[in-house]
Amino acid sequence: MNGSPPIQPTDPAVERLGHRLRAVTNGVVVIDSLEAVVITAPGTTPRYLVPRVDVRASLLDESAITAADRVPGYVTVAWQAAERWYAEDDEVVGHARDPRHRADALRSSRLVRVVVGASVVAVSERPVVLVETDTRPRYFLPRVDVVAALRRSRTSTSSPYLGLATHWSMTLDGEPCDVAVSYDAPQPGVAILEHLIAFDDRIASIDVSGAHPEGNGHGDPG
Amino acid sequence: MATPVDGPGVERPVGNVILEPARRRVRALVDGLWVIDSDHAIALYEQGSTPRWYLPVADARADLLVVNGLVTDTTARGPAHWCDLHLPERVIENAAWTHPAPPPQAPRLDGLISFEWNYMDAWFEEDDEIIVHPRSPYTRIDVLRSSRHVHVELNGVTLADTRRPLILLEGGHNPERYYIPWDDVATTLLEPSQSFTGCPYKGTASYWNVRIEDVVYHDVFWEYRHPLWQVARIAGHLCPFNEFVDLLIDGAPRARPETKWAYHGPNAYSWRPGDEPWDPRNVTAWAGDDPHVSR
Repeated sequence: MNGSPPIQPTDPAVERLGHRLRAVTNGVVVIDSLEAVVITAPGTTPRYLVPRVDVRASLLDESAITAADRVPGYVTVAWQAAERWYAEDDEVVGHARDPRHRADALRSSRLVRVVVGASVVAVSERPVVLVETDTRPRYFLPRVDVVAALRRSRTSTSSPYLGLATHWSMTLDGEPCDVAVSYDAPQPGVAILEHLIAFDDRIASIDVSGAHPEGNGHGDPG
Repeated sequence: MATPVDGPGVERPVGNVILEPARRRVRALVDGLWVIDSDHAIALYEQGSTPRWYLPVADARADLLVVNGLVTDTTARGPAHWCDLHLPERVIENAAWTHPAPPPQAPRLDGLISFEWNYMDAWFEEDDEIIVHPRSPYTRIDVLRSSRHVHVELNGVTLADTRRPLILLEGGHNPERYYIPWDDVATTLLEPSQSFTGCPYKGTASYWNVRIEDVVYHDVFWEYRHPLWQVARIAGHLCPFNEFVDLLIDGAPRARPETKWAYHGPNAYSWRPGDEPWDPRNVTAWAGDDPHVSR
């Protein structure tokens, strides 16, 4: 882990991680670095770069390792080449984390009404609004406020900021269709998403009452 | 896409301003009145400042605002025209400001209004109260469990030693902070401090002095006794000021970081380049009476 001089990133898209990064395959540590950096660019998935000396290349497929053209002495290891990735002792799922990506889960009392096809599938006055960097807000609703016949889908995705996603499907036009997502074991920073479910606004029509349900909205509280 | 405001490697001219839609309801409460309620707030980030909310004038209680004639200059936003807020029981002077005539190079702020954060009783994003200042959408907080060996000394005296720290990373632009379980801290050396600070991401911190023989070092550790739920893991942990202690990580010494806190201790809000370093044995620079400090 030593012997690689710390780099001083000067490019806006390359940043020091500041934490130990490890990757494990077949129970063996294949990456262990204190000097890893993360490279980010708009519209791309963040990637970790690690000093070549911190990678046990003999345990990895050669094609999984790519030299980092922007940072001398550093390489990228394909995410799928390792079974698990760890930031310190905490697992990171999905892909590298962008240290500037923020996810705010905010409790709200706005009225959210979700329609799929011709059916109202959810009505809730206690959504949690998830505002992530550079995405549209998403409305997570208590499962008990959802009246649709939802089935667990086989689709499996994960987010390094939210956790492993459970997808939910409904029968639309006779075919199962993924319509909603939940995070059964959310990351600590968004822990209140637990047991909540969010419909995909590309399929569902999601109507959120404005900030001013009583006219000018400036009435006294209570 | 907007870009982040500060952080290592990001070079920006002084006064650079970035605007970004809130995408969430923003409200503020004073004397039981909602004086702000907006679905169309805009976060303004200016180099060297914490984020501020601007919102359409129509989303504020314009009927309570009176232009008072005060005009001040700002670096990048153009002249600010100030308003008093006339509440039923009192008047808050200079509570809000507008930029009716921003200069050509400034962002389009006409039609928007901003309020002094500290003059409001409470601010909300959706139904959650937010303290100190709006959260930046680019400040990510990660609290990571770690098994690294963290050893903390001051003048050769061991203050803490742990192999189960939590490492707190804040948006990549503050030094790594090592949160140490109470059991692994030399608590017999600690004395409570009167200092406290607030942070929109973590909550309110209280501080601990360290007494080594007859010398008291102020505010060497802090603690979020009741942290915000997003960082609930740090409860029960103390964090040393990297800037004022000798830190060894897996046996390797860490240089004391050069941050604004190195110069003003917890009261870093008013730090300017060239200021004298803060001496933890001399607390005159910090009376613990300014909670509006972000760490």
